[in-house]
Order: sequence, then C-alpha cells, then structure tokens
Amino acid sequence: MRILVVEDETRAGDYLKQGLGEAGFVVDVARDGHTGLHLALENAYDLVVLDVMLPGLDGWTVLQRLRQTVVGRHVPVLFLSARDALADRVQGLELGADDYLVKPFAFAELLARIRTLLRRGPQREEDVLTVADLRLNAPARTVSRAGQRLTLSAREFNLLQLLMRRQGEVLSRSEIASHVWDMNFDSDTNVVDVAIRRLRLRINDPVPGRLIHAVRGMGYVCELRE
Amino acid sequence: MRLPRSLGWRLGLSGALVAAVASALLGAYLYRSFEQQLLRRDDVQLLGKLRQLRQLLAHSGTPELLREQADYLRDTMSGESNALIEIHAAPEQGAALLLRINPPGLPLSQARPVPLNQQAELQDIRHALREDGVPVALLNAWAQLGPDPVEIRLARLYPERSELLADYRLRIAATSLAAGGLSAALVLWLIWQGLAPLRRLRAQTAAIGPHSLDLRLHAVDMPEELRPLVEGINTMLNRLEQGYAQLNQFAADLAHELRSPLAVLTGQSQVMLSRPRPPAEYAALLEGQLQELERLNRMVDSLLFLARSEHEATAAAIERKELSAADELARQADYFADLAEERGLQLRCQGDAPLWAEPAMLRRALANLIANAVQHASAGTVIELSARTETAQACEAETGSESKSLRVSAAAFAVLEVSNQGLPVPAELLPRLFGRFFRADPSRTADSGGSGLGLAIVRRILTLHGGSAQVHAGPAGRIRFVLRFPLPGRV
Repeated sequence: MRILVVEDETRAGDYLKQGLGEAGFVVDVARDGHTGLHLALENAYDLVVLDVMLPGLDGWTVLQRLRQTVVGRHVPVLFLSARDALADRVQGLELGADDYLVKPFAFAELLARIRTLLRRGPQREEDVLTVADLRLNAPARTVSRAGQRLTLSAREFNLLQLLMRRQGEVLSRSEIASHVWDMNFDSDTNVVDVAIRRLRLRINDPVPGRLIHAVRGMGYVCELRE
Repeated sequence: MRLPRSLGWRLGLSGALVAAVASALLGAYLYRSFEQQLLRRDDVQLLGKLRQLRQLLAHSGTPELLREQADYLRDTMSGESNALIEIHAAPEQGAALLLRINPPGLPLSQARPVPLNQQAELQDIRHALREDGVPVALLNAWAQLGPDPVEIRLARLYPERSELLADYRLRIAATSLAAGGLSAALVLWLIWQGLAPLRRLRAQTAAIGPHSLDLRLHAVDMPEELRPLVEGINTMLNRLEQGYAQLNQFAADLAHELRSPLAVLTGQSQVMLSRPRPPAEYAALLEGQLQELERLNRMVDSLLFLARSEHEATAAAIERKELSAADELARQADYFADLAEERGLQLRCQGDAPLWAEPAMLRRALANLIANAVQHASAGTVIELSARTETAQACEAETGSESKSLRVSAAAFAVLEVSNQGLPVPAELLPRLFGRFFRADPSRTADSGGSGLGLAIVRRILTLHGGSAQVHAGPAGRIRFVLRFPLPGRV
C-alpha cells in the first residue's frame, strides 16, 4: 500500500513517514502543495494524507485540482487541519475529501482512520467472527473458546465484538470508548484498561496463547501472535 | 462640511454663530426703524415747509412781490441748497413759471398736486432717488397767491441721509461681528471651565493600568450628567480587576501544573541518556512518558474547551437532543461498572426524566462527575446516580392543586444527581470545587489521576445549557453534585 503525505512541518512529516512505514505502508512525503500535487499525479497512491495549511498551493487547491484529473478522481484523501471549525470540515468534505482529522491528533487515531479508508467499500459484516479458537456469533450473541461456551455481559460482548471485527488493527482507548459506550472524548480514567483486563479474565486469555494484546502507548489489538 | 472633533470648538463656534446672527438681526431691526424715523422726521419737516409757504403766498399777493421775496423764501426753506422750490401759475393762466429755486436743475414732479382746500398729508409725499443715488422727497400742492391759485412744487434732497445710514450699517455690522467674536470667546471659556471634570477624569483614567487596577474614579465631585458614566466605568473596572486577577491566578496555576510534569519528563530523559541501557528500559521510559504526555494533551484539550466555550456564541451553537436521563445514567453506570467494582464500589441508578441536552457534552459532564465520585468514594460505599424532574415552584406544586401539572410543564428542569460517600470536604471549600485546578486535598497531585479541570468543565457545560451545577455536603462525608438542565417549555 502506497501513501502520499503532504505536510510542510518537517518533524510531523518525518514521524508520519516513519510511523506509517513501520505500520507496513510505503510512504512518500511532499513538503509543499506543488510537489504534493505533482507526486500525486505521477504515482498511483492508495491514499493521500493532505495538510490544509501548505506553502505554495494550499490543501484545498491541491484537493480541487487532484479531483479534476482522471488519476486523482478516486484516490482517498484524508485531510489534516489545525482548525476545528465546522465550516472547514464541511468545505473539505464538499471538495471531495474522504475524511477529516483535526490537528493535533494521536498517531493511533490517524492510523485507524487510514485503515478504515483503505478498507472502505462494499464489505459484509460477518456474522461469525473467529480469532484462533475464539468464536463469536453476532446474531446469536454467543461466544465460545475451544468449543466451550462462555458467558459474557452485554458490555463485554460488545467490547469483544469490536476487537474481533477489527482484528489485527490497533484500537485506541478513545476509539474503544467511542464505539462501545458512545463516549466521544478523552478521559483521564482508565475505564477501558479495566474493562479489557476483565474481558481477558472472562475469555480465559492466559499469557501463552493470549489473543488480546496491549500495544504500548497505542491501545489494544486482537490477534493471534506466534 | 466636516465638524471639528473638539466638543469645545463645536459648541464655541455654534455659540459665536448664534450671537452673531442675533446681533445682526437686532441691528437690522434697529436700522430699519432708525431709517423710518429719519424719513418720517424729514417728511414732517417738508409738510411744515409747505404750510409755511402756503401762508406766505397767501399774504404776498402778486407774482412780482413773490419774485422779490425769493431770498426770503429760500431762507424759509431753511436756506439750504438742498431745498428746491418751483411755483407755477395755474394752467388756465398760462402755467408760467413764477419762481424757480432749483440750482441742480432737478425736474420736479408733474404729479397731481394736493388740492387747495386740503392739508397735505404724509402719504402725499413721494420718494425717489436721483441718478447719483441721493434720496429725494417730492411734494406738489395748490396755493393761493393773492387771489390767484398757483402750483407749488417742493423737493428736498437728502445727501447726508445716505451717508448717515451707511455709517449706521457699518457700525451694526461691526457690532455684530464683535458680539459674535466676544461670545465665541466667552462660550469657549465657559466650556473650558465646564469641561474641567472631564479633564480631571482623564487624568484619573491615565493613572489606571494593569498594575494599578485597584484605582477608581471619584464620582463625588462630578457633575450630575457624568456621574452615571463614572459609576459605570468604576463597575467595569471592578469586573476587569476581578477578571484580571482570575486570569493571573489561572496563568500561575497553569504554569505550576505544567512545570512539574515537564521537569519529571526532562529529568527522566536525562537520567536515561546518561549511560547505555537495555532496550526494555528505553521502552518502559517511553511508555511512561507517553502516558504523561497524553495526560498533558488531555489537559490542554480541556483548557481549550473551557477557553472556546467562554464565548456566548458557543452556547447558541450547541445542538440539543431529547434524551432519556435513565438511559444516560445506565450508560454511565455501564461505562464505570468495572472500574467501580475494582475499587469495591457500587453504582446505583434511580429515577428518570426527559433531558434536553447536547449528547456528547452531557456524557462528558456526567462522566467527569462520576469519575470524580469513583476516585473519592470510600471503599465499600454506594455511588448514587439519580434523575428527576423539578419545577421552579416545586414547594408550591407539592401542596397540590389543579394547576400543578400546568406549572410542571411550564418551567421544568431535569435534575441529575451524583452522590458518594468519602472523606468530608470542609464547607468553605465546596464553592471552589468547580474552579480550575482546584483539588480539595493540596497534597494530591496529578499522580492521582485528575487534571483538576473535570468539575470546571462540568460547570461550563451546564452554563452552556442554561442550567446550573451545584454541590452539597451531607452528613458524614456524603457529597452530592446536582446538575439542573432546563427543559424546553412544552404545553
């Protein structure tokens, strides 16, 4: 997967390149609008991360020109803006941006949004989710591990369903809180950590063969690790 | 025309203009009446002359005699060269010129003379101007020269009158100008005197700056009109001083809040880099620092939220929805259930009420309150979450009457309560709980979790909703937070 990052701030650009690179993407960084537009038209990118405030051409213009070309008409664009105004967001989305992230943002959040955009498209929600020997049947709301039925509370079920549906993907604490409880703000409490800890106990997730992993400083991921 | 900026000049010039116009009008009036007086006096004199002349002629008898008496007649007409006389015989006797004293050769009027049996009146006199502008009064009359009727043509030139009037005009113009100038000076001086309180005010305001916000303007020696202004400014200064003090305190608190974690982060990094270490240690440090940085991030976000929501516009812009209090409390109870259980606490919900609020803000307010309760509650106690509807006239409504239901729907609040059992908070600290960076226990720092902004945000959210947040201390360390969300009036 190849990503173009158009970002004029050197440090931000550098860490985005490193972070996204280590997350398995091939990353090009452009430091101004003209270069960004040029690169986006020259190469076939799977996604463009575009800062609004840029020297030369600003992000709006880059997006506008990109959308006018055959090459750039369908490439997903994720907007980064320091401004939190609703009007900006609306303008970005009207010009054809696919998503919008307000600076400053957590890297985990950006990664999650990028993955969501790349995953977008006709996708069927699977009824039965499996990770190793853990099985979750969504319509029946049942969970079993190694064939053995587990009893989970509604909260634990929802949490597990989220982790399993997005298996292999690191979910930040605020993302988890937002999906499970619809609490859309960062909290000082460690509610999510406690909930995960208890979920692990419930699904009998012993240290060897553990399925739910904490990713330091990022959040949690559900996957089978060798 | 652009008016000058100075109030003094503006009033001074208007005063001068009014004075000049007034004295010019007065001058014009005096001039007019003086002119008329002058005219009348001259006309009366002319009539007198005619009377004298008629008598004289009646006695003189013949034209010959008349001719001899020419000098005497001229003397009768006050002997001036400006008095002109012509005496003609009646037309039926040949209209011969019997006497002519007319050195300038002025053609005397042929107008109808005053009949013999009539006294001449003022209106019989005609006024004209000679070519050179000298005013002339003309009078014709029949007289008896002995037995024969003769026509007297009298005229009088008044060259001195024009000079007199011109001089008079000049004086009036000069007087008007002088009056205007003088009153302008006077008005300016009076205004300068009158504006003295404003200059004092200016001197007083000049002394007030960021470091002397405790100074106030003196309203005592101010004129009646300025007193409300001075009092208004003083009230404004009170608010400014208060706000400024709060801002200063806030900046100091903020610096303090940021300083400790920054010092720790810096120190940790310095120690870590002082010698090579295994990667696991670096990873642990980074993780610890990341947590601290995330906490700082949240603190800055909270501060931003508080700063932005201070504008009035934010309150108008929030998008409220109708929510169920019971649902929201259940959501919170579910969210905090595991955490509470770990600390040996129980969460209990009761009651319901319709809520009219912005969902994310409501959840944030409730979550902050409950996180606070979970943190401070003593182990083994119960945290109560309750909801009910309340009216402004709750007491009245309880006594019961037909209008009860009407009142309830007229001005109702949704009341949400969060209460917990913990260490008693001194009563005098209760009002400060909603302040920024306030922690009831000074020894507790950021390590115990909170940013010290949670309750400030709760209060701000309630303010944005037009509601209120209060805290009450019950017996034995029971502390009760009460949120009132106003409901839209429904009939």
